[in-house]
Amino acid sequence: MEIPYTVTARPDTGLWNAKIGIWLFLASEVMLFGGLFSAYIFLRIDADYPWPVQVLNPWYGFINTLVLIFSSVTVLQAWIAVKMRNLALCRIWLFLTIACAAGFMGIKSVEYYDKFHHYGVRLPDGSMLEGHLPNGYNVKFGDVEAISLAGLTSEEGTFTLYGIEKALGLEFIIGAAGSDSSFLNYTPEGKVQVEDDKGAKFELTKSKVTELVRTARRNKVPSIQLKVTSPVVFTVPPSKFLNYDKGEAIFRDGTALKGKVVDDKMVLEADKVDLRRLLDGKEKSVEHGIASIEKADAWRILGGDWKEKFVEHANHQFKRFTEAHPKTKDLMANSDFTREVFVMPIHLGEHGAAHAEAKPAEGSHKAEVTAPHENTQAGHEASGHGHPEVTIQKKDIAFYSNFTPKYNTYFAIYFALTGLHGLHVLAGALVLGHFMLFGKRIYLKNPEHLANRVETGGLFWHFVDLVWIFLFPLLYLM
Amino acid sequence: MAHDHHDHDSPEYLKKQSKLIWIVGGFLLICTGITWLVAFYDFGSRSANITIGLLIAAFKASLVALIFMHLKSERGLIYKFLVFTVVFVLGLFVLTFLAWSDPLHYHGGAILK
Repeated sequence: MEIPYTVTARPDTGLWNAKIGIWLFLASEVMLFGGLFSAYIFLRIDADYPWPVQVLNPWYGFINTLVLIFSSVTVLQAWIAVKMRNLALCRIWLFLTIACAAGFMGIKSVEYYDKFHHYGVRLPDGSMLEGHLPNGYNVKFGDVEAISLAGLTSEEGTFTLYGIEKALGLEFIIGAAGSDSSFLNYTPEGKVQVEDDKGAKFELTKSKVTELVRTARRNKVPSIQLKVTSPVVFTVPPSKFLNYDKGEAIFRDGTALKGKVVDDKMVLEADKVDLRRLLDGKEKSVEHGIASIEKADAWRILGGDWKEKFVEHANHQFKRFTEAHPKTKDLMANSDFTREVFVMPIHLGEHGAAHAEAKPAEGSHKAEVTAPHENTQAGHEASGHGHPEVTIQKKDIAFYSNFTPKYNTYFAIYFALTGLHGLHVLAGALVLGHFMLFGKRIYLKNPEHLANRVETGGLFWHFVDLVWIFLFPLLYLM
Repeated sequence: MAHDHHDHDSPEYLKKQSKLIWIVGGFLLICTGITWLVAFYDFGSRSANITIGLLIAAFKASLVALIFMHLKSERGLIYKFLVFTVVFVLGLFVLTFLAWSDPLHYHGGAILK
């Protein structure tokens, strides 16, 4: 069937059909992103925490803006090339456009990777420490005497596929209820020597767990108790536990361990300390504000030397800000002021001779820190070195997360907006790639048809560029 | 508003377009540099900086829409679509601001604080 008006304009609209189609689609896209921009404003105005300003590396956003603008030019040159009846040139321009898209996504993935591997820790009083976890964060649960395998998944506090199935009355579909064998991933050898209640001794492996749980479920046995005959230490990221305390640890699938927490502390390569949450918002005097942070929990972790540096930093920034902005009245209500005064980047070597003397108040201090680097912040971020390595006990961790949507609403909207935008870049590159690779057939039949297709794809591409033009300043610079 | 269709296909017109696109593209790159510079220049308050940054972004966006997307010489029907789009987008923004007249949002928040 011949689709009408792919090349010539429809008499009543004066436009070929695909152009109407793409503009209707772009209209709906404007509303989609409009809703998200509206959400951004709402989250920002209503934030009950200091909104992160210029926390992303602006170079990434800046280079990506240049890349997208350049690709907007190349996609138009591709269109002009078809119009001039030069398919080879059109393909070159399309290739450049797609290369720009790949570059954009490459930079984006570096940025995402950085965020996924950078953590913030809130201490009980609200002090925030940021940094990297060189060894991850694991709980060591040892002296395990007994393991209880669940025949049925515990539904309390968990949101499992099995829970959904059960709610729908479809629990017979998958046999995933009860303990799965993933808890064995956190043992040194992936297996444990055990004894069951009948006195039979055997090696608990993944396949054995599956077999035991299946039998238990068939016989409607809620749980299987196993005694551990050779003590074992589990090294587990805390998020894998539903709950754990001194005597018992329960995995999310319902598997329970009896034993004790041997070690539960986080080693953080701290690169920033943020004390804005210690200010109660009513404090009008900057001097009081600076004095009030002397008791912060952060110094228990970082050590007193960093407190002195912080006070020095705060006073210096206070002076600098008042000189630069003599007219600003209520300094403590000014978000730029509090950000500059009550947040300090931490790196060894920054304060000249005082470097490397900062000793953490508790825990170990690894030897490598004694060789401080003189390089800049950018260098540290890549290597992770040059920052003091501090130890934070579990009781001091009120909240911790990497910089993902769960960290705060800024990162939630950052990932929502840039993620959706990234998908658009990907989709645009696919469409333009299709024209580059398979456009010849249409071109030979009617070159104007391909010109219209490239123009349509280009219109979408410009829209993607247009969205980024707003995203760059909003997320990186303001 | 729209030129005769055949004008748009002549090699002279297309060559002129190609040149215009490079110029506008270069100008947009320069504007991006300006966006960067003004972001680190202090205009007195954060809201002043945000306003100026967004004005530059809006200017860049209109260049993209008018020239790259050919909106400055598009048919009337497309403008009709866009009028509706603008109305709905403004609606989405107004919905956000309605939250400030919502007693639950305002007073509930105040009591909690």
